[in-house]
Amino acid sequence: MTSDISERLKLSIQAIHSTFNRTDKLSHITNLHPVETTDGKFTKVGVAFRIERLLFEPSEPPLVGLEEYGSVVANAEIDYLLNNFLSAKSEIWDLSPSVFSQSVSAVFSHAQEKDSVSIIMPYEIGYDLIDKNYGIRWDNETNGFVYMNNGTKIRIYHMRDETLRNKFLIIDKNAIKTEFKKQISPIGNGVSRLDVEVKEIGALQLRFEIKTVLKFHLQNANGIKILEIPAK
Amino acid sequence: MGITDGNLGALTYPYILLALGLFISGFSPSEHFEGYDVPVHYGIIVLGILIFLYGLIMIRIDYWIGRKHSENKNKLQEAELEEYKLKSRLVKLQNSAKIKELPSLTGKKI
Repeated sequence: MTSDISERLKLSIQAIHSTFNRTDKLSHITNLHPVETTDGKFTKVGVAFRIERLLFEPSEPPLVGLEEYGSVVANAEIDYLLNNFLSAKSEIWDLSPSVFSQSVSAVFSHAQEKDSVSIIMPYEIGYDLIDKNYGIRWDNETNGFVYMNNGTKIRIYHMRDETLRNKFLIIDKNAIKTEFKKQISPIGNGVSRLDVEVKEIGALQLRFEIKTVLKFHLQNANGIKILEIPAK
Repeated sequence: MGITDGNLGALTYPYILLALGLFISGFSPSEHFEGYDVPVHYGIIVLGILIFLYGLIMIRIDYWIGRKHSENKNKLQEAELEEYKLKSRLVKLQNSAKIKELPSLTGKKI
């Protein structure tokens, strides 16, 4: 890589890592374990694209938008996780607050740590629940929505409706172990799940591969509960 | 629904009307209260004032609940908007045709 574009490239890679860290949900929802090598059963989650090398020339205006791939990969991880686990048995939910509360308590009773439970819900239905008596509110301390269960805050993550397909997931962090291939991060403490690989394709193009390499293990089936709202 | 997003507002209007009714009837000519040993009209006026204050407090609580609901809803909309903004910047970049996405890596075993 020639030095004329390497500085711009470095900044872009840092921005992708930074967006990934900011939008990362997997580390809050599952238990992470870094590994050095993979065994052929790990899955790549991410995107690849070609981009004109010209865009990184110092004479060009700063490249805006590329950092979003960090968020794309962070969301793809959750999509992949949900694809693996949303097919598990779900309960039909009539949106009654008492069923919601009972389901959260059921997962809670199996959790080893009380702050390890999270709720993942679709955006659109999330709007409706805020207006009703579910005990969901904004929390300045965690800078996110929380559900109060017997004095304990449970973090709520909102996901795109098309990913969740009208399903609510209540999950204990220790129910799923995520093994990931350890990568070197250009920011923070130097360890990351995200790998940003850049290769030169001829003189005019660069090939980006932005990915994480993961393997999920279900450790406690009682630590996951899925509520489903039937389609209208 | 009340005057805000809270649910108490509509319930308070009958209280306010009742309070006004009692308050006004408390000032009715005193022959309406003949035969009573206690000054009933004072009682009615005080009751009217109390119910009126109760109504005002309910409206205030309703306003407070409604404001909280709106704030919470806005926070969620902001988060969604932020995601949308990021995505639209990427789409703009992709539409400039200087970036070409290759088949997704997701699912490939390693």
